[in-house]
Amino acid sequence: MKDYREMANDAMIEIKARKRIKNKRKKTIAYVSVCFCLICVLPLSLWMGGMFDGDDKIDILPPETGIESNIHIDPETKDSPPIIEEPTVIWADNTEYVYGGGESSLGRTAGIYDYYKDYDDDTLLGWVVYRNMTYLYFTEPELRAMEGYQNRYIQEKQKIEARMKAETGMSTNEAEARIFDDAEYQKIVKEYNEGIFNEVYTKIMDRVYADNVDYIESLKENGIKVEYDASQKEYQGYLYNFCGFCVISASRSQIKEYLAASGNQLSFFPAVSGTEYCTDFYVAKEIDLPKGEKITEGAMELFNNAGGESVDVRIFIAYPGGKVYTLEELEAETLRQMGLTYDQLMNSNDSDLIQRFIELKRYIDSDSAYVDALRERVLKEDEYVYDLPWSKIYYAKITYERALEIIESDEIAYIDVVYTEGIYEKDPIRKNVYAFQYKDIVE
Amino acid sequence: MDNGACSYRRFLEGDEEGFVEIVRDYKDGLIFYLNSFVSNIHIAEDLTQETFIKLGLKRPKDLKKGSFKTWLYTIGRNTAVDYLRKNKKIVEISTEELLLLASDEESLEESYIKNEKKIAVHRAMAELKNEYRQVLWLIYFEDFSNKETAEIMKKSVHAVETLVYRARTALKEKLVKGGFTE
Repeated sequence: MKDYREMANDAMIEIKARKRIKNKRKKTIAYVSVCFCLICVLPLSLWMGGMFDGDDKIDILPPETGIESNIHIDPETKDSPPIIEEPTVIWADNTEYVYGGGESSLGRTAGIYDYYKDYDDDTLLGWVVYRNMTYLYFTEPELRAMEGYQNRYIQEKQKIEARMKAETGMSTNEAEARIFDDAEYQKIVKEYNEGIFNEVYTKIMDRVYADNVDYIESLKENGIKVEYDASQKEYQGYLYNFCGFCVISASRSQIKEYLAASGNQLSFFPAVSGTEYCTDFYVAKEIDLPKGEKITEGAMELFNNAGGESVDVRIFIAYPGGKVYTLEELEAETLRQMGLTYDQLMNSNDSDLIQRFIELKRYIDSDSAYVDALRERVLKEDEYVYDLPWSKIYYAKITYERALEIIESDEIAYIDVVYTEGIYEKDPIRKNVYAFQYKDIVE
Repeated sequence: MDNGACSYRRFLEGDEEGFVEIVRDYKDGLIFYLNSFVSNIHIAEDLTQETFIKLGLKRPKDLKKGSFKTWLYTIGRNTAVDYLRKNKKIVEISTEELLLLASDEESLEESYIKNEKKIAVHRAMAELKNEYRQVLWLIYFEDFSNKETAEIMKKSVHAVETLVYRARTALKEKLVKGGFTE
C-alpha cells in the first residue's frame, strides 16, 4: 500500500500527464481550425487584400553564416514560444548528423516556455543561455577534422571504459566518471590535445572567445543582467566545450526581444535554483522539475519502480554555503596559485600548463572542501557512489525515504536520475515529456 | 475542522502541498469507503488515487464551505461505480493474493481506525451488503450527516434513514452472532 505522499506524487504526475494530453488535444483542434483557415479562408482574404508578401518570420541565424536556422521568431505572436522546426542537417553526406545541436536542445527550448508559463511576462527569472556556437564557427574542413577526432576519441574512450568495467566490475556510470583518473585515458587526451587542439581547436576557440566578449556586451546593452559567464577559452578533454553558456536575469519578454533582434542561435533553459554556478553542462537539461519540487519526475519514477529499494541518482548541490566566484575572481585566484600572470598563460604554447590551469580552476570553482564537507553531512558512507572533482553533484544510491530527508536541506538543489546516453529511451515518462513538448511546439 | 476546504483552497492557488494534505487527510477513509464497493483493498486504493486525480483535473472552484469532503466522496463513489460497470466479470484471486489483501486491509484498519472496538465493528461490516457497508461507513466512521450521505449516495434523505436503520439491524445481528459485547 502506498503512503499518502507516494499517492499524492503519483496523482500529481498523472494529473500533469493528462493535462498535457488535454492541452495537446485542444491544440490539435486549434491546429485543424487554423489549417482550415489557412487553406480556405486566409488565401482568399490575402488575395483579395493583395497581401501575398511572403514569410515574415525572423531567422535567428544571420544570413552570412550560410546556414538556415531551425528556430524562428514570429514577431506577430507576442506570447508564443519560438517556432522550432526540424534541425537543419549541415553536412548530410552519409550521416544524418547535426553537430552539437539536435532534438534535445529543441526540447529544452520548448520546455522552458512550458516551465515558466505561469509567470508574468515581466517577472525576472534566472535563465541559462546556451550558445550553439557550432553553427557559427566551424568551417567544413574544421568540422570534418573535429568529427574524425570525436569518432576516434569516442572509440578509444569506450575501449578504456570496457576495460575498466571488466577489470573492476564497476558500472557504466562509474566507469564514465572514473575514466578521468585512468592513465591510458589521460595519455590519449594529451595526444589529441597536442594534435587536434593545436591544429584546429585553438583557432576555433579564439574565434568563439572573441565573439563571446561581444555577445556578453550585447546582452548587457539590451538590459539583460549577466549573472555568470561560463564560456571558456579552454580545452576540457571532452566534447561539450564547443558550447558556451552564461546565466542571466531576464524576463520572458526581454528574451523574446533579444532573440528577435539577435543574430545568434540560442537556447534558453530555466536556471534551477542553486545550479547557476555549476559548470556541469547538463544542469540545463532538467526541465521536468515541477516548480517548488526537488525530485525530478525521472527520479520519482525510479523511486516508484524500486519499491522502497535504493536507486542510483544524482544529487545537485544548491550551494548557498559555498564560495561563489565571478569568472574574473576565479581566474585571478587560479593564476595566483599557479604563480602566473594572465599574459604568461595566454602566450604559452605549453598545453600541459593550460591543462593544469583548467584543472586547478575547476578545482577551485568547485569549492572542493565545502562540497566534501556537505557530502559527509548529507550522505551516509554506503550511499555515496562518487562525484567528479570539479562538479557540485553527488552520485549516490539512496532510497526514496532518504531522498525526502536529503532534500530538506537548503544546500541541496534537487535530485535527478543519472544521465547516460539514451536515458530518454529508457525512461518512458521523460521520453514522452520531451517528445510531447517538441511535437507540441512544432504543431 | 474545515473538512479540507483550506487545503483545497491552497491547492487551487497553486500550492501543491495543499494537495498532499488532502491526500494525507482523506486517502485512508476513501479507500475503506471504495472498498465497500469493490471488496478489494488494492483496487480501492487505485480508485482512491483516481479520485484525487479527478480532483486535480476538475478543480471545481464553487464548492461551498464544508462541502469539499462530500464532493470528494461523491467523485469517489462515481469512480467506483464506473469501475464496476467496466469490470463486470468476476476476477479469480489466488489464496496468496487474498492473504495479502487481508493483511493490507488489517494494517490500514489499525493505522486509520485505531480503536479496537471500532475495528471489530468494521470487520463485522465486511459481511454485510455493500450498500449497508457504505452507509454505515459514511455515517459512523466519517461523520457525514444523513443529508450529506444522501448527496454522496445519490439517494433521498428518507431513503438513507431507512437504509441506516436496516444496516444497523443487520450489523447488530452479525455482532451478536460473533459474541461482540459493549
